[in-house]
Amino acid sequence: MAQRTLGPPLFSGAEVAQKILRGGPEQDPFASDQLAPSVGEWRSPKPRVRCEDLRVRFAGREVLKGVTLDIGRNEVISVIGPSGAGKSTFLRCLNRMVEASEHCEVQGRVFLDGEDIYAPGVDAVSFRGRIGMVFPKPNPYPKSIYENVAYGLRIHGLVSCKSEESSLVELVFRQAGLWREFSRRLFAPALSLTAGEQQRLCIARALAVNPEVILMDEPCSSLDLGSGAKIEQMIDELRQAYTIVLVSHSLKSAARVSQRTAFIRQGRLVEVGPTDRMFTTPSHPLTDRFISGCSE
Amino acid sequence: MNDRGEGHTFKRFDGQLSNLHLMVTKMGQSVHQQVQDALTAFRTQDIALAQKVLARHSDIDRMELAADAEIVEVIARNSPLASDLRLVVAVSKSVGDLQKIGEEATRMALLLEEIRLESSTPLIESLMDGVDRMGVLVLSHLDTAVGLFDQWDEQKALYVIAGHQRMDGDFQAELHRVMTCLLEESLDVKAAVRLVLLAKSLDRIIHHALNLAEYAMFEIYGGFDLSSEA
Repeated sequence: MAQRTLGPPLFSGAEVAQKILRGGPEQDPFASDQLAPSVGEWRSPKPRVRCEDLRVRFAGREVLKGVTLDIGRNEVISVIGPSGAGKSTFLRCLNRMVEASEHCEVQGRVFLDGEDIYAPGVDAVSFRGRIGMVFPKPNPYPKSIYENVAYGLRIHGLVSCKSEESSLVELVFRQAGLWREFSRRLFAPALSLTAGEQQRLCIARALAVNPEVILMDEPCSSLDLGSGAKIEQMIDELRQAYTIVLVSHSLKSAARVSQRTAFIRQGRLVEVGPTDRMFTTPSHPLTDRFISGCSE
Repeated sequence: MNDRGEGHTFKRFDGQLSNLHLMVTKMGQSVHQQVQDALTAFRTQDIALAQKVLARHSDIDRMELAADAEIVEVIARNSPLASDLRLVVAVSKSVGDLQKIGEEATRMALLLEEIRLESSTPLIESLMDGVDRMGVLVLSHLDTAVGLFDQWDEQKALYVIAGHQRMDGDFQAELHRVMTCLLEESLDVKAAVRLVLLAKSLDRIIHHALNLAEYAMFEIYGGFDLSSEA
């Protein structure tokens, strides 16, 4: 038989996993409260976003326990983990929305294109224009479809006249792949749209201010299968121009759209790696158990 | 299977995976029995046993179909990922190879009848002894490979892979011997061709056993570079 290659030998990560699995519960790296190293490549040679030892406390309770992770340019990274793991908190650290919560304390550093966003003197409000956000439930403004996009352009001073505004609105809708769908009803109320259409409008609204990074917190969670698929298609197309951080409870959705996946559990980054490897051959047994749907 | 503590939160999934594991294990044992019986029939010239092997062929096919149906249901219902996905893929591929090993046993049983009826010279007997010796080695090899289903064991899988390389040489030597006899001696051509076909069946079983070992490595590690073992 000719020599064949089934795939790259993944012994190093798997050996770690096997060692931990065979070693018994006392070797569980998270059994004690000591900080365990993450498994996988959390560094990127040219990161758009770099998080260093990111820690968040709410009223003294630590919910993020030292997350260090790079997010590259033009990539979709999925953040997965059980409820309460700290995924959404991590996401909200990236645009400093976490600071809006009471009794919140953030430590560590987050860099956007090399600039520390938590450095003294950085204005959180103006900085947020560089990072768009999409929430689990669509939340369009109670205005027309057109106004939902035009409003952001106006308040960020990106347009000087009406004709420039309408041109940019069209550009945004085209960029979001929604022009054909929305061009004939631009002045219909946004709230008259279906939930899926509203969510895609919210993504277009986030694109309007020309962000560098788009944060998506379970954008398909309230949508049916078809609407969710359209959002996923949109994410896939937007990847060419943006960095997208996607928090998702749907492992299928994460597997479909992301290039890298990060698994967070109990506030710690357990493993990060290429999505195809994470979903077939995770290196860490905790990742394997979570992805496989095993009991904690 | 990996140590999963209390298993899946959705318990029925554990049951389905266990059932799948049981199905491939039973199929492995049945296929091993088929090869063993075909070789015994060959050694003892037992036509009745060879006919039993032929009669049981459809059982192997039924097992394959049942395993395929179970695999499709597990994928459709549970969308397995990580080590579960590797297990399902490994079982799916193993079932295909086991079915082909079963076919080889059937082919050997068919050949046996023809060789026995048409040959009686000492040279043919000597060549048949050589093939029989290969059969014993193949059976031992297959036994280890099928045993992988009891527990996905890296050491056993590597043993099968290493054994394949050694046996490949033995097979080539045996084939060369038959071919030489065919050219130099006044050997019955039909009998010689059938002996070659028999040896090739054993050769193919070894290759399928190698595949089973590779699937075991895939189940354990998610990939295996066979060239690294060369």
